[in-house]
Amino acid sequence: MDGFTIGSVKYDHAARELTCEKCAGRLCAWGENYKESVASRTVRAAEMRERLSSSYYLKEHDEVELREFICPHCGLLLDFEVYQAGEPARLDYEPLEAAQARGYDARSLYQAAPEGWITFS
Amino acid sequence: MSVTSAPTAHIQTDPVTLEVFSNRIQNLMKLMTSTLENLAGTLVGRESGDYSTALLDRDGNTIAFGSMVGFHLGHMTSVVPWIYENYGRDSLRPGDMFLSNDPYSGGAVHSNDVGVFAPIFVDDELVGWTGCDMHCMDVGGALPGSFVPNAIDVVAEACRFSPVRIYGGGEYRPDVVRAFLVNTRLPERVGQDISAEVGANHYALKIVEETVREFGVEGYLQLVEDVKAFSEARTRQRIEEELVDGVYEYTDYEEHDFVSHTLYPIRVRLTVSGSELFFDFSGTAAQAPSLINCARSGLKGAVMAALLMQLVPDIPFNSGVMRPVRVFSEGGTINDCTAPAPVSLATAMAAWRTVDVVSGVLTRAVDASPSQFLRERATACWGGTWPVYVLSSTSDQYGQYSVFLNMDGSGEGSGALRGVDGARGSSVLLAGRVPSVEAHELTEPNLYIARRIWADSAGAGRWRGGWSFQEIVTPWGEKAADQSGTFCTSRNAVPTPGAFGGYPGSGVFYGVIEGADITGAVADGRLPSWDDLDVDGTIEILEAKEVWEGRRHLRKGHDAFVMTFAAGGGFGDPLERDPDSVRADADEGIISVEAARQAYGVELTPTADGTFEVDLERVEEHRAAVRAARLRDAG
Amino acid sequence: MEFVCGIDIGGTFTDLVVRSLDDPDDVRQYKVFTEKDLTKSTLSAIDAASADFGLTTESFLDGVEHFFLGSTVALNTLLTRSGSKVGIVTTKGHADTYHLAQMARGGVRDLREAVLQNFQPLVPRSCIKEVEERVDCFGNVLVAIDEDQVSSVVRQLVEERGCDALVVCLLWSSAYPSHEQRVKELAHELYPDLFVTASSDLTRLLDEFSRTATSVVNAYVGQRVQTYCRELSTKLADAGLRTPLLIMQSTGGVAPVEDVADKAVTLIGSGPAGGVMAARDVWMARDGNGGSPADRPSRGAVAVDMGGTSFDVALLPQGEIQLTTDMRIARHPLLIPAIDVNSVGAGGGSIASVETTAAGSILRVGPESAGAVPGPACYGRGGTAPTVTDANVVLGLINPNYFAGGYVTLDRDAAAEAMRSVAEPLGMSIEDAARGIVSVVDAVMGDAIKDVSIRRGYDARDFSVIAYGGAGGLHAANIARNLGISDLVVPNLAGTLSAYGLTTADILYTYQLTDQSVTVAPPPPWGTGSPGQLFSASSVEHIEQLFTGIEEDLDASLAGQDVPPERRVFQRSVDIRYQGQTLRLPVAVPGGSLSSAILEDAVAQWEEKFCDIYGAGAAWPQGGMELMNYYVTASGKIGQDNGSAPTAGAPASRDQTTDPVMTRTIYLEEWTEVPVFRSKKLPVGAEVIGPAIVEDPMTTVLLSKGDRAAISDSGALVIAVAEKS
Repeated sequence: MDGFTIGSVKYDHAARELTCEKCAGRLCAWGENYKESVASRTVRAAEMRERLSSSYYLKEHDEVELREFICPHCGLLLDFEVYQAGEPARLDYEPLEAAQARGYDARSLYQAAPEGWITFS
Repeated sequence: MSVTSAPTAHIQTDPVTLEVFSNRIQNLMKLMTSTLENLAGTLVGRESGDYSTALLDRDGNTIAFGSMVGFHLGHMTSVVPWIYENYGRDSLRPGDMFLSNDPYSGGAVHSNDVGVFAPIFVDDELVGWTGCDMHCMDVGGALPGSFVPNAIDVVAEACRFSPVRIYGGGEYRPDVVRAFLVNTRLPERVGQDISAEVGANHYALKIVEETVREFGVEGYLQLVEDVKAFSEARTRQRIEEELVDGVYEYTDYEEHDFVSHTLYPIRVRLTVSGSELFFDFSGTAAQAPSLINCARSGLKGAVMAALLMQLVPDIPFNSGVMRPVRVFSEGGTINDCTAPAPVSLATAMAAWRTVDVVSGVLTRAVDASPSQFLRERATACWGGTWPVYVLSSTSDQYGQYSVFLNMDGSGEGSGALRGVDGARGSSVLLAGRVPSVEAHELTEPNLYIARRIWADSAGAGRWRGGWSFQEIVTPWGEKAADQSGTFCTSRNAVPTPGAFGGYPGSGVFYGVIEGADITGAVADGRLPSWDDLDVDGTIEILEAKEVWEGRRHLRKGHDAFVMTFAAGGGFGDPLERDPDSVRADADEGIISVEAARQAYGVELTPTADGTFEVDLERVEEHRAAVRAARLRDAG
Repeated sequence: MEFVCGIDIGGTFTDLVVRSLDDPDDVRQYKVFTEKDLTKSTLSAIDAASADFGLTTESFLDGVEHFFLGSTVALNTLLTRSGSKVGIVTTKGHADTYHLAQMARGGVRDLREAVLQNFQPLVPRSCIKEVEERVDCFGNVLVAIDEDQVSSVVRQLVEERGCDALVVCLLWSSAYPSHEQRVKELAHELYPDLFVTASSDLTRLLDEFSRTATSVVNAYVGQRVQTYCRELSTKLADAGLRTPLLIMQSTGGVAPVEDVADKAVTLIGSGPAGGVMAARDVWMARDGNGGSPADRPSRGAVAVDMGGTSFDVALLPQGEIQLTTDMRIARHPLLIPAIDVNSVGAGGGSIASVETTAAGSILRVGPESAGAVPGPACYGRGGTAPTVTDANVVLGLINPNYFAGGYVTLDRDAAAEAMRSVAEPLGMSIEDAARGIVSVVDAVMGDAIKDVSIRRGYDARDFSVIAYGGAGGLHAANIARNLGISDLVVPNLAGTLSAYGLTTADILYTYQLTDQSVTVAPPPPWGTGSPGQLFSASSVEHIEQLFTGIEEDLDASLAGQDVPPERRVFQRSVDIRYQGQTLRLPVAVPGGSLSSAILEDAVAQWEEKFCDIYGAGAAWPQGGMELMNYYVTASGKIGQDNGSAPTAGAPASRDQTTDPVMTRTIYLEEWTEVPVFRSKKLPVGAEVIGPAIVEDPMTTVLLSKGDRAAISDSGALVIAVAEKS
């Protein structure tokens, strides 16, 4: 596997790093969550209306956060996600080994207790 | 590094016969779905396409599935096992037909989904099942339309029948059908819906019998096994060869449980490992005290719905596709609730949201794929809600008691996909159309004052989301009375997500303009326009879940009701969008000049004929400034 | 000498069929390449015919009694998006109706395909204007029309937006068309030559979006059609034609070209009409040599046209054309009647492929097609994908040197090479792979026939198959056999059948409107309906007024074409449905004065038809019934002399023989030597028993073991299909 791209983030397996597709700047090491190391900010509902127009609607809610993740090198908007206030950034992709290393292995969980899983036939 | 289970079976049928059979059962699905469309008793079925059909094997596994409402598969696949477990296989006779609408015993996603299922016998040998599912506009319960925000359990929501014979050995059982219909507010219409399903099933009974006569019972049963084996093998091949092993994560939220505007995260981790997929919903919110939950059949149906549209749209859908798929759910959660939790709005809320969540996590996986076919199916969220507005009136324009469910939310905008803008009116789940104003006004006591494209509703992005629309109505008709209603939206504080830097689509709301005095305006020889009504200035935006229960009314010709529907999320950073496409969107009024400048970084200059010009040389300069501002603001 | 001419102008060929009125057996066909200047190819076909009859072009045209035209100009204008700049005037508050397009995803499962196939409007939002007016669902005017505003928006559209065609579609014009007509008048006062379509000119069926879309297509293609027809008419008149051109519509009826430009949308679906009309004629002529219709061998005909990319099926129960108002072209809904044709993506160009998995393989055929370019591999035009035509060549069924009348020489080696990509993964010989492809495509086509018959409530086994189109003859006998159909006809002139069909058509006008005021009460215990009194006197009168109102308008149109009263035939039908449905299942209503008994009879017939289609269990009379859409077709019978089936063309050639012209080795279950006959050389009554091949320049017919073909009086191949063993 040479690597792949999810959204505008290149997952470069050979170089063991994640880079920005637009500027090729390094975002983080392979296996890490790039969203934890790039520039980010929270956007409020009112700001969305200012940025678009009053025609756009979003109910103000204390627990809803819109988060922008921005390439620190070129300013590309890498992701724009909705979160419940205080949640950690979502991990788009994690290699199986990395997940196993921190103790998550869905296949083993399934094999240990298949009856606890839903199957379809 | 990964363990791959071998496919369970090797295909016995020759490659020609397999294709012939595969085509035939797909044709059967088209025949059955068009029957439901033609014969359905209300706009819900005939216009909005909220129905589905399936051909099942002897054990109740799917062989073919018709329609877009993928989560109906939850009902389709739950009924037969339930019947076997509770009545026994031996109880079945040729000519039996079962009605089923209980979310917990038969597996309907909500009680409005009334299914009709029939075992298929040929010469007294059981060879399979046929089934239909149709959203009936009212199945009784505490409130018209059977969406009951204030119900604390499923018993209060609607009339529920666990699978029961409406035909026994070919004999119609009017007593049973009447017992069901007496519980609905629309017995004639719902009776029509059920008859439509009987009609659709009659085709399956006929065509399967002919097919069995052509291939023999053994040959038919082998074909059934082989189409599943083929789809399983194709699906495993796709997962193994075209998806990148790893763990992908996504979360979306249901919101507002009628009691409070609580957020309910639905979390999923998808593990791609070898030729198998593991969806783990651990961490999903506990079940809600009200109708926004879905039960396990809804969860299963939602997983199937997303897969069949996004990962395997080109592979014949049957239970073989699902064999490499495992799902973990803690249970007692919003999308796997425990009886007797209420679920009457499961379809529009937790089950739909689960489709969005599965589609969201699949988008990460397909975008990582080396396959262009899959990358092109990476998508921002589609509309992602279906706002529900049920009106009831003691007298409609014809002087009749009236219940009406507005299904216009099925006209939501699609999400943008990698490489293409989202489309108008493309619901992720409903294949149908938004009824015309004339179809509405013919059957419901409303005057449609205006319908319009909703500017800036579409999620901004390198590829823009599909826009949505808005409408204003008022109760109308000489004989008509004021209306009470039930109102449920989501995507109200939690917008329809974009993908990879694409903006979310606009949030959705319902609103009331009191004292709009349409009657007076008409007497003066004019109807107010959207702008005349000063919607922004006068509107009272409703809570995301409201029940008026006769305590409040829309006054005929006096109050106006504003409806908005969901738009699609954008895909990619809007600053990367082709400036000429930004201009074209502004020319068509899909985006505002402000949005063009601030979200897209494109300054537009109006021209004499009302269109816009863009100074291409200044675009990059302006966009560089926006990018710099982003970094500055992010600190 | 007097003639009837039918000319079918297609993308590649222009076909001309000439029938002599002096000698009903004398039917001749001519084929020329379509040129960019269509009048040029038309005239060159006419020149060829004139010479053939030993006449000058002028005296030939002078002798033409009726000149029929089949053209794809309307459809091509739409598909190539090269029509007029249309503006729309609509009801205040509803300017976006056309763009909202009912927001329909359609039955597309694949997310991306659903987006790519989305509706593409022909009119931008900036060319849509609202006017103050409103009508309610009962047809009552709520707000009168603001005439000053109408004039102002029409001026804006024409002068500021540059629109050169106008659509007027207002809410509830289905119930109250006067506002639309007033807008049209006002527009014409301002711009007398402006092309204006009011939706109620075309249809008054319910659903403002579909009416708008129908009208937009009409206005979009109208002026192109008008110019095209005028040019052709003028050139033909200059060359000596004395009679107006009659152009084929989607309904299988013709209309004079000067009359049709305002209703150009009625031409959109005319492509298959000629063939279906000819098939109808072929079946109608099967009354056992002048015997009665009761002697016909079946309950009706299935017309099947297998071309390069599609397989079109039309059902003709008792020879009657079935019309539908559910036509969609490129996602534009057209709310006007058209022949109900089921088109599936299967044809000679359909591409075969193998999907191989760990569990086994499947052989897929279509819906992708190699089309005309690059075409099947055997065309030698760069195509490498294996197609159905390649399979037929590999099997020896198509004579590589006698294909399409020798216009194309086929490359058998290229076909075999292409077949390898299917044969190898399947581990089969290329012949067996080719047989597999043919079996799959035969099944797809058989399913299409079955689907059409079942949707109309018939059993395909009771029907005759009339097969035409380039590839029809090779597949037809096996398709029929698979379905249990025993009677098959491959008409003569199969290569120019559409042009022949034109010459059998009558002038036809249609109109339809929605009126939802008449309901039929359910029987006890659900309601109070009692037989004999289901329709009140006022309902009967209302229905009669609806029909006679339409009939008077259509009668005026026929009178305008000098059709004498005794040749004007009106047919009424109405959609009945269980209340709440959208079903469009019309049932015929007798002409003349109505009564409750007559209408109840129609209801009974409708219920019977309903149960034939959907099964008795689908009926739900408990909720009552309603009458909904009223249709009238008005024909001017000009084709009364056109009763004979397509005949053997020019007088029988001298060297007729019942002997085969050669033998050929073809692959059935194994390589087998079979006799090859030339249909032109076979005398009337000659019988050919399969296995055999019967060829003519435009089509090849394969007879399998036990199939018995006879040459009919008209030169058609009438085949008794052997049962499936």
